Amino acid sequence: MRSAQRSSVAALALATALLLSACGPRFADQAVPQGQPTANVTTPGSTTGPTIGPTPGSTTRTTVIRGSKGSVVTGSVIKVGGLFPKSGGLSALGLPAYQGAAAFFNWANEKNLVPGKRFQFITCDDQAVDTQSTTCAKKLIDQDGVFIMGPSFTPFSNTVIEQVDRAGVPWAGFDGINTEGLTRSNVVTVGSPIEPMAHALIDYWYNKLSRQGHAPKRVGAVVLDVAPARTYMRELQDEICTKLGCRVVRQQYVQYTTTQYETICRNMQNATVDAIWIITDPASAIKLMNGCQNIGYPKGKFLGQHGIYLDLTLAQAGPYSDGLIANSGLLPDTEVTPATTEMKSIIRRYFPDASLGYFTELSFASARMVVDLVAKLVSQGNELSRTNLLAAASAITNYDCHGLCKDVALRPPACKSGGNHTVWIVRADFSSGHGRWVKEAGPFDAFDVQTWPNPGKPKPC
Amino acid sequence: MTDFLQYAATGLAGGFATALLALGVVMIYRSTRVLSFVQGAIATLATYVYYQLATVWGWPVGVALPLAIGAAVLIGLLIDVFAMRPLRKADALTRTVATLGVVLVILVIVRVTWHGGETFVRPFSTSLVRVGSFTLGMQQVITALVAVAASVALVWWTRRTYVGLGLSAMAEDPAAARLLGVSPARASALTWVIASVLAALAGILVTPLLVLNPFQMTLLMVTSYAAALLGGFVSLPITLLGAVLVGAGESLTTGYINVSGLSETFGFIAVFAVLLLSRGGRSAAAPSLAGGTESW
Repeated sequence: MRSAQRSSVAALALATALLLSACGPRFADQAVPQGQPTANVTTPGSTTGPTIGPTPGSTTRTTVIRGSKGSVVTGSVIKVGGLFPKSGGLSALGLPAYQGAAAFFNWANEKNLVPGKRFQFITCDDQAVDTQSTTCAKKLIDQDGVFIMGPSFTPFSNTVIEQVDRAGVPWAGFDGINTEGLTRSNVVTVGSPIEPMAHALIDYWYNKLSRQGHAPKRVGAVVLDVAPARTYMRELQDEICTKLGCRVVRQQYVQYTTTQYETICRNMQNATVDAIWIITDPASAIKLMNGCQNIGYPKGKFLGQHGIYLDLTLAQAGPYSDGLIANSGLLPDTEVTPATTEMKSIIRRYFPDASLGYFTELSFASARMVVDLVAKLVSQGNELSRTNLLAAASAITNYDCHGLCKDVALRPPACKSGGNHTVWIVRADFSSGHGRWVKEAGPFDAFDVQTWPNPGKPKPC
Repeated sequence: MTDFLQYAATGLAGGFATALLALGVVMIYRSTRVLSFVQGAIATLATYVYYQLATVWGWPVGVALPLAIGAAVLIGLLIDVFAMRPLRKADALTRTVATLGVVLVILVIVRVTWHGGETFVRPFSTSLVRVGSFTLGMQQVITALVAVAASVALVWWTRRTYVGLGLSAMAEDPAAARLLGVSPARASALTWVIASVLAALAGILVTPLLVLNPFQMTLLMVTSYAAALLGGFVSLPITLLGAVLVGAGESLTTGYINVSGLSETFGFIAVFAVLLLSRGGRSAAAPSLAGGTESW
């Protein structure tokens, strides 16, 4: 009996230990301890992970004064923190987003874009769980001593924004998803706030169909039950459809674990919706489209927000996704310009299989913005402090992301829904046999669409 | 009424994948009295192997599928050798807890090898099958056919073959079974192999309709327990029926009660309901882990 009890206890202990190791946040990259020689930083999550950080064997030292506003980098290594869900329910978006930023920091180091300075991009896998985002941010700031928080993809960052702000750490590369973040004094971003983006997409779609003679009246929505998606849904119900004259006849909230997508599509079919607005992560969008395809639901009746604008969506949903439209706050990567060509070349150099899309591009552009800001301070001979970095960002009101965005004020006005409001509309196109996103419209100003409550400006504070 | 039938039919199709997992649970319980929590994890690992072969390396399905099934056979054997045999003197409860440990080991392997990110597996077919006014995906039809075939084969095998009868006998009376020449070690290994293959089939068939991540199949396990409970952890046909009924229930919940998260918890509710309805959990529906040690 005692032997059996011991076995039970041992088995339970093993299970608990493994559970902790399996489910805890993944502190993916090893930071350099204070005053110790720097080390390589690997990039878990990719089979082709490059080295990001100081040159191997380097003995340069990082001296970041931590924990107060005005922290200063006096050494050669600039630690930049990042939060990404590289695993878990949102990893289909989080991993490519990480790769976009990591590629540019690696490129900056390789090309010595800021003479005498090297970037160490320290990331933490928060699995898109808000409590783990908080843990990760604390670890990056307190333990790793990052100079700033940099490019991140963390749509559940409401509490993290406040945490980072309270710690006096600039967030240069905030994704812009949570509109709360755009009111913070520490935020520097080229990210698009979701509210005007929602207006721009629905307004465009409605008017396009109206011009074709059949204005859509009945809208269905499949919504991931998380805060940013609920914001989209609220905008659609309370403002957009009210003004356009459409009606949300069926809304279906889903979880990452939802499997009943055939039934959800039957619901939409029975509700005779003109289109299904997909307000989910790409994995759920793919599941939805696969489910719809399985019941013979007609294709071409989908639209989605910028999260599903990702190569992965087309690769997995296949030709059924032909005609799907989405919005983007950056120039679509399928547009052939020097900016997009360079971006693709850099990302593919380090991550050949990275899925391109809005958030991959946003992370890339955000990393470049961080490098630009640091380069500006260094070239002007200014002290590399958090305060100076925020001041330098404040002075830039027409940043163009080297051709990927338009006239963005890097410090959004301290008011709801400021920030980057230029929008492009992209469409899934399979006319060549292979799926690709093509630019359908834009750029235009999301604040100028007819449903926006305060034309030309952010919403009233 | 048409809506009801459509929702139910859709759910029935989804229930067959759950049935494959549930059949594995029942097979293991019938012959070892161990309540296995590991079927979902086995399904996950085998599906990742299939993904690696078919998607990442681009091998043909005809090669990747048998190899992934072969991997499942190996996984089953490894579980038996390294987790079950060392605990052969322990009671069923201890071995049941050990399956939880195996779940976590497998999840760690998956996360270390494939980094835990979401990925996708192509379906065998994207064509549609129309029956009257109903439309179903070919992948769902394949899944249903495999589940029914597996169920029929297992019923026949456990009732009509010496080895199959031996497995049941091991659970009923290990000593008597041994006297009849049934090898406990071989019976255990065989059970785990069969259950692992069923799990692999479930994973490879259902994942193309969903997403491949370390947890999706483990979450589906909850529904399979409800099905296994309906079958009293003994009856293979009733387990199959239970799985499709639970699948239909999930679909009807999604169709008629639009409450976020409700259909995802339907499996839990079904488990709870079956336990409550089975006379406070004392009937055959509730598995007993209180049996004595089995000397293998």
